[in-house]
Amino acid sequence: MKIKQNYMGKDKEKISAWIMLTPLIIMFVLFSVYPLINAIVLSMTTYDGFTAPKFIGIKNYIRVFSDTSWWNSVLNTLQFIVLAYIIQVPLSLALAVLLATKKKAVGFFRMVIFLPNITSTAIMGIIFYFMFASFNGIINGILMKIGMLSAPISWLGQPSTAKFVIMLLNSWSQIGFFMILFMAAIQKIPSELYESAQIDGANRWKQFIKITLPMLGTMFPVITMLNILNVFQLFDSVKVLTGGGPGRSTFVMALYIYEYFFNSTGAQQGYASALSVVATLISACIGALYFVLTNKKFSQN
Amino acid sequence: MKIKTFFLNSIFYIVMLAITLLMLFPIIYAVFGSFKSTIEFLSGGAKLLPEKWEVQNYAIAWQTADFSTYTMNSIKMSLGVVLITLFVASMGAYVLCRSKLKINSTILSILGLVMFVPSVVRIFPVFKMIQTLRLSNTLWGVIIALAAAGLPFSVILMTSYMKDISKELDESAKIDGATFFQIYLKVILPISKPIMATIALISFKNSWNAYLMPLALTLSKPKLRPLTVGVISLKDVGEGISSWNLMIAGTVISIMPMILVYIFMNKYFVSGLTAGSVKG
Repeated sequence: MKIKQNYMGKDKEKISAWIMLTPLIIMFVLFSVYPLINAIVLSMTTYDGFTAPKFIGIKNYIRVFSDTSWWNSVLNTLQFIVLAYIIQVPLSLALAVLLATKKKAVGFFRMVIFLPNITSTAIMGIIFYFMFASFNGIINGILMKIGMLSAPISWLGQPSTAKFVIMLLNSWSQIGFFMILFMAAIQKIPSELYESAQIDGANRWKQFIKITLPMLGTMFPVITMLNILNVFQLFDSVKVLTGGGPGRSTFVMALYIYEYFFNSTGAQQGYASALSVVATLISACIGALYFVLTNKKFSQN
Repeated sequence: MKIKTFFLNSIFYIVMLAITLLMLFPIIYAVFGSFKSTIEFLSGGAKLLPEKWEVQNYAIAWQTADFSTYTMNSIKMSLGVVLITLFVASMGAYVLCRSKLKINSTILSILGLVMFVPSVVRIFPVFKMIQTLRLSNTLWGVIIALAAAGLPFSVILMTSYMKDISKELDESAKIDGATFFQIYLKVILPISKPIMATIALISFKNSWNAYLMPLALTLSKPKLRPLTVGVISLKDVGEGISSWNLMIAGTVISIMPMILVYIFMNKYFVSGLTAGSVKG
């Protein structure tokens, strides 16, 4: 009798577990799983949002491979990943080390440096757009006033400077985030390590190289992954700052796909879906590469 | 030695103050710029402060440029997302780490994988789905789509928190006759308050700042736009440059509430973010 009751209890528990899980599963299937399957199906059709989709096999994919503007957007995205990494990681690490001390007002500095991360990149994109406007932007105004420029620069009108402004906005909002992560890792390092190093006469720099950096080891893979994920999603700032221009020089993957999905004049949702599938595969490859590399490192240790 | 520390300290504070100014510059620029007249704003130059303070910009933006609607939409949207996220994610996370369903670990790893998929990929199918569910004429469409997009992250973060809650608490509640659901409601939820607060803040921030999803879902529905989409839509209207002062007032209306929330709840923001990634 007792055993039976126990079984019934377990069944009851299972039923309530399934009921409690249902909202999550429904939302997940409708808005994450189904969209992916739908994208794969649509990617093999011509579809413009109005007439019924027509099956055309892998023609869209063949078109992806010869679409130089698309590969240029992929290249831009990869370029931004590398640039973001080499700008943001050293700077945020330096700030974390400087602000992990017990000096006065350190908390205030931390708060200010993290603050950009809570603002909307789309909205900040507008503000940067005004700041870097060529004839009435304040950046040109200041640079000309202090004599560093004789004529206004068209910041967003040239590929290289436009990319610079995009990266500036991205770094402005990301550095505080990475700094906080580095700081959390630094605070976990036992202080005895530093004390004994001090007794041995190691200076600050040596302590940083010999203790802080190695102990931070596990934080780097996390930050690398967050950096990749973040730049893959790069959309708001590019859309607002340059819209992909001048020409198509600053297009990134997300923006390129978006334009094909929602362009008011002649959207091509079938082709956009094929691009989406390719983008997902590229990010999956980078994700897999990242896991392979970090796992190797761990097993070597 | 003392002179050296004094010297180093001074350098530290000078560098930090410079960085502080650089970080705050865009925001200060926007706040002062929002009080400039259109003519002054368009004439450029190196001046940060307005010559004549035009408080009117805000009144015009609020009334004629529909910013009151956008603001209300932003508030409703963000609160809606927070409520749905807390409800769905807390129950889901509880089941995933406390029940003995065989599917639990599979669900967790699929949730983790999905975070790698660029969000633009699902934007069009989601757009279609919202139409199919007949939600495209209400804010609920945007709310549900945004909440769904943030769920994987929230569930994973909450699961890793609940895993650390001692199982003995569940056991003793069970002996007292509590059902599976009652344990969630009376034991796990009260202990999970800190992580709930963190997730509420993060999902509030994410939906308040969201651009891509609400942009795509309100392309033909100006009345449903939140602040981000509404402010930026002015950039492409016919009048263009003439509404720059309205746009900049709009940016301030959009970022200030978030900054205030951040200043008062700074600790929760920081602890939540680090908890998520240090553990994960």
